[in-house]
Amino acid sequence: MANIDQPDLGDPAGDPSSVTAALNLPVDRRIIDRLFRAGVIDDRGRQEALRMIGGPVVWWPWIDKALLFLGLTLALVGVVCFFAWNWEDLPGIVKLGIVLLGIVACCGVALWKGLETTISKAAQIGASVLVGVFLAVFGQVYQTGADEWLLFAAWAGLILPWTALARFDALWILWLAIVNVALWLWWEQALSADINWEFLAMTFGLVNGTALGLKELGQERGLAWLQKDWPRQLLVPAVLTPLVSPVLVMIIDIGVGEPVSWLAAVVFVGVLCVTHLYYRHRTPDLFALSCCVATVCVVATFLAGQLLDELVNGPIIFVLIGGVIIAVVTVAAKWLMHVARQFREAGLEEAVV
Amino acid sequence: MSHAELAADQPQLTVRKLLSHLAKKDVFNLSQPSDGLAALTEETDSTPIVIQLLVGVGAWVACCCIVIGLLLLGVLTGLLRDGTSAIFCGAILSAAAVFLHRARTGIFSEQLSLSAVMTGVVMFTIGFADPDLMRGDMLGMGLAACFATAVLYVPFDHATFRFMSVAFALTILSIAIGEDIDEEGLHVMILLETIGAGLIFTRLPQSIFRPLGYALAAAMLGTLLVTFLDEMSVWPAALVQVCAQLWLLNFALSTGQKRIPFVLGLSAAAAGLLGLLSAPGILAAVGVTILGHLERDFILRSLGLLFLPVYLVAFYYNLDTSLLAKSGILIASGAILWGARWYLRERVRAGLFDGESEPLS
Repeated sequence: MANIDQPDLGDPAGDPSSVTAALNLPVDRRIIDRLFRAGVIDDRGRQEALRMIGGPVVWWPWIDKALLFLGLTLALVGVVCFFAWNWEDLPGIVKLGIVLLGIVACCGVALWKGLETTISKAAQIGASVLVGVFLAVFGQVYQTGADEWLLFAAWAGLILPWTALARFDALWILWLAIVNVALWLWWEQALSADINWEFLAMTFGLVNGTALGLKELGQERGLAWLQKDWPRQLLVPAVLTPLVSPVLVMIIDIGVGEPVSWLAAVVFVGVLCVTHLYYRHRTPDLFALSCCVATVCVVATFLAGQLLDELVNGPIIFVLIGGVIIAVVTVAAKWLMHVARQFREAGLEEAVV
Repeated sequence: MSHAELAADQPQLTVRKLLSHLAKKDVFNLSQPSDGLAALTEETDSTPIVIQLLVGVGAWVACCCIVIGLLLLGVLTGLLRDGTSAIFCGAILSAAAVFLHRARTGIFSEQLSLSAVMTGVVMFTIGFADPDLMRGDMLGMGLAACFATAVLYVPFDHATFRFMSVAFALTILSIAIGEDIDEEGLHVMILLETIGAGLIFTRLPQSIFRPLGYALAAAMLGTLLVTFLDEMSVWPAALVQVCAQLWLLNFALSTGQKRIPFVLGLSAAAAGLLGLLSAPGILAAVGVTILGHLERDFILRSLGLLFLPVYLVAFYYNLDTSLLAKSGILIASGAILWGARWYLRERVRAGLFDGESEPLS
């Protein structure tokens, strides 16, 4: 083994201060890739360096999961296609029986293998999707005539118990997606005549926001299955996007702004402040902050565009709006860079995506 | 002492110690020029990808607004009478943007120069839509976009611009070739894009080529999708992708990954099979994902994973069979993948993958 306690590497050519600083940087995977990209080490050197910090490329877990979940996706889509074909010669009860058998088999595998294993998690997703297929086939066989939103609501309701028990983040995200679709269809098919769409947008924001809040609470409490960041990266945009849309519509149609629009604006500002404070100070996360900043940029651009529309006529307005976007994004990028630097100085490299 | 022990003994492994160790292993030459080291500290403060994304999207939207405004203004005032005026306007904007960018006076000028250079490239390209210049068709615009991108690639050293300008030029060129030359031209483009992306990620480690590589990989996946959805003959692209997979296998073996030949051999066999099944897009997406994993490149891996479901949906949606047949093919495909997984697990248990860090679950 090389004696790396007594390095014999002199300071190479270049700006002495920056080269010395570079030589004293702690090595991680990103530094090795930068050394490689800068041409300091070649591919053999890179592979050797990667072995030093964490072994060779790990293939098996990656391939294992890819084959399992890709196979599951194909098989489930195949099942959906099979029942969409609506084979008339197949009695309805047999169709339902096949799906039910699939659900039971998935549940059996999930319980047999233990809830924490990868195959069990795949089986939980399989069972959850098959419940939806079962309800669709039920409606197909018995011609219930029920609205589609009822199907999705029933689907979400039926899989809720095992979703709650499974301790699996992807299953919660699937459940939340079904709930979102059910809400959308409910409003469209049953409520749109009586209830403003702003309420729907606020409901989306609050439902997804509640899920995000529970995820963060669980993460803070140390629940192992809630420690991954990817659900946050889905949920933060899922909270902010529906909440910002009534605000944008209100800006465009400022003259006809109803009280509900103002309520939506207040809710948006409130959620934005809470999200910002939480991901700035409590659980630092640059991605979540970037989402907040991006929504503010959109609102600011719409406001400036509306103002310019009142003041200026002609095509110059497009050039001016372009200028506004540049200015707004500059401020946003500057602030985010400042926050990123603060996170790095505090040793929170993982908070900087 | 093993590498793991080495790493455990040295919690503060620095670049100095690493290079020293590599020199003793004869994989690093101490006497070679190390100018790249100076750039290492600059790169350490590099912009996070999420901010790059925000800046890029902002610059692109601003560029679209400004281009629309300039074109309307030019037409109304008579300043943009013909294509030459637009080309001149684009060239002036680009030159000013390069000057501003290289002055590096602050983040506002960075953002302004980024939007200006993109506006310049688009204006320059639009200028060639004038029938009096060249033929006024898309091919002229595509070649103009490529020219502008090539000229600005080195002086405007901004990764977001480099990626977006190459992607823009390749998109225009693909549309032009699709319209003017037809599918043979698109297959040549796919071949060149595949070779280009492969060369960059396996042979050209310098960071200047990285945005070009991402743009070529994205363009390859996009062009393949166009050929697939337009129901063109896919065998040339399938042949290219099978060859690319074999090249990837060779590259993986040459980087000292001694434990993976079986896995990659199986991947190559599966790739060949998929190629025969006329799904070059799936093949390409899998190849990009594997290359991303091999290179530990988050963007490349994400790109492959993003396109994989798109190609799967497109492939099965376009199958000229009944829903029942599709259902059978899909379920059988899923079963084959599960079978492959079971077989590989058996091989893992037999010790083929000694040293892989995660246990079987």
